[in-house]
Amino acid sequence: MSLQELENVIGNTPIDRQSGKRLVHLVERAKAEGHKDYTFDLLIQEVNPQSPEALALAMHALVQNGIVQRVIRVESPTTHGGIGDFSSVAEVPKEIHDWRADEDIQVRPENLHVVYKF
Amino acid sequence: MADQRKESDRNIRLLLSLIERTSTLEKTKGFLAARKLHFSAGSWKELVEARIEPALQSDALAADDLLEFLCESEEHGGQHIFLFRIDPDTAKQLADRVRIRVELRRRGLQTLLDRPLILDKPEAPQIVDVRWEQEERFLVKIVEPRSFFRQIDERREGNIITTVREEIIFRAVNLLRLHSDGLLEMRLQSHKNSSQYSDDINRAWDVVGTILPRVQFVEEAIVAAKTFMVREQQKLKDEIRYSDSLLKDDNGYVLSAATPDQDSNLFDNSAAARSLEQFMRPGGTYCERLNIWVSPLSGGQPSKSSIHVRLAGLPNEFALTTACSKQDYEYVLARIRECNR
Repeated sequence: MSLQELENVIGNTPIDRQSGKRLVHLVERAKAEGHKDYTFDLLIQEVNPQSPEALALAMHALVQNGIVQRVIRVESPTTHGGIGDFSSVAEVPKEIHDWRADEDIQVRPENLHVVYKF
Repeated sequence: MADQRKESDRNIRLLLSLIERTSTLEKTKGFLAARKLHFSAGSWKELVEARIEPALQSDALAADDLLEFLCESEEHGGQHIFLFRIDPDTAKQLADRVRIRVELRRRGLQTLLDRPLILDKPEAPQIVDVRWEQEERFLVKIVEPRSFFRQIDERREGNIITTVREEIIFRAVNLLRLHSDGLLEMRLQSHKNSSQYSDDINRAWDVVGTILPRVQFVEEAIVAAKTFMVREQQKLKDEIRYSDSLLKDDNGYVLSAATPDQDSNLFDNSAAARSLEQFMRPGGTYCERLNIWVSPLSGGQPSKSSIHVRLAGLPNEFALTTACSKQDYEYVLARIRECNR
């Protein structure tokens, strides 16, 4: 996708202009460096949007356009390292093997984190 | 004679059932292939009926071969291992064949010296095998029933929530292996939903009783191995990939780091690597928990597959979280021992 197309995708969302520019730069940099994972908290810190909701809508647009992949990451409650990525909340099993702790755990909402993969 | 034949057939059926549960179709095919036997099959049933049974009938395969394969499948990996130590002279005395024969006769188990007991799920923990490995190591194998609960339904009626759970009873295999240099490994089959093994450790000691008296052994802590693995990660990088670590210092400070997934390496992230290296200054710091993936070196080259090892829990505890080959198990144990010196 070209820079112009990227700017158009983000520009067509409610995100404010300055934050939108920062988001464009972030996407370009992340794509260039490769294999980047951003949680929503990190995106807020880097983009500093006037409205987190607007940022969420911008990210949704990027996902819809295939620029970014959104996964639901299950984190180990003991180490907070990832133990499995799923494409949606519906696909997350109720119980999962936490290989970092070597035991099966009941997946709770606090174990789930949205991650955007560039 | 007829009774012996019936017993033999029963043992073979049970061995095949246990192999089906503890191994995989592919690994069992590999076992047959290694013996230059026909092995192609699309299912377990087909493998047994079309390949294994004919091989048994033609004596190309024996029950002992199946037993050896079962031992390889169920004795390595998928375990939490606890290390203990005794002085080598006492280890030699404990493993003495005459002494062991007396101990087994006292328990009515002397037939184990001729052949192991093939059991599925006994009602209580049972010693099923006693053997020596090249006179360097003495092994006692225990089979016990274990259970876990599986939720099968949950219903809500107003404020009343009803949960229906099924108790699943399965066969667990534990081993105690005494080395001639005094090291004792206690390998306990992993639990599905618990990380606590104190009761299992006590039960294993109770079952072996005077065969391997608990009071004479001391825990062999592997803190030094964990700390070495973090400090020397640069030297070990061809062999070990790090998934997460927990470091502590003598001021009570804690540093925890983890990768996003199991394929990444903690030390490939420069910021994480610098933090961990700086925290692990010589003296006053140690590694309490480590999750690593070991790729055994052969001729200086790492293998393509890796073994997940969790070094955490009690000071003398580590785990190989999935079943592995005997060769891979021995490699990991040897490396932990080397790193622990």
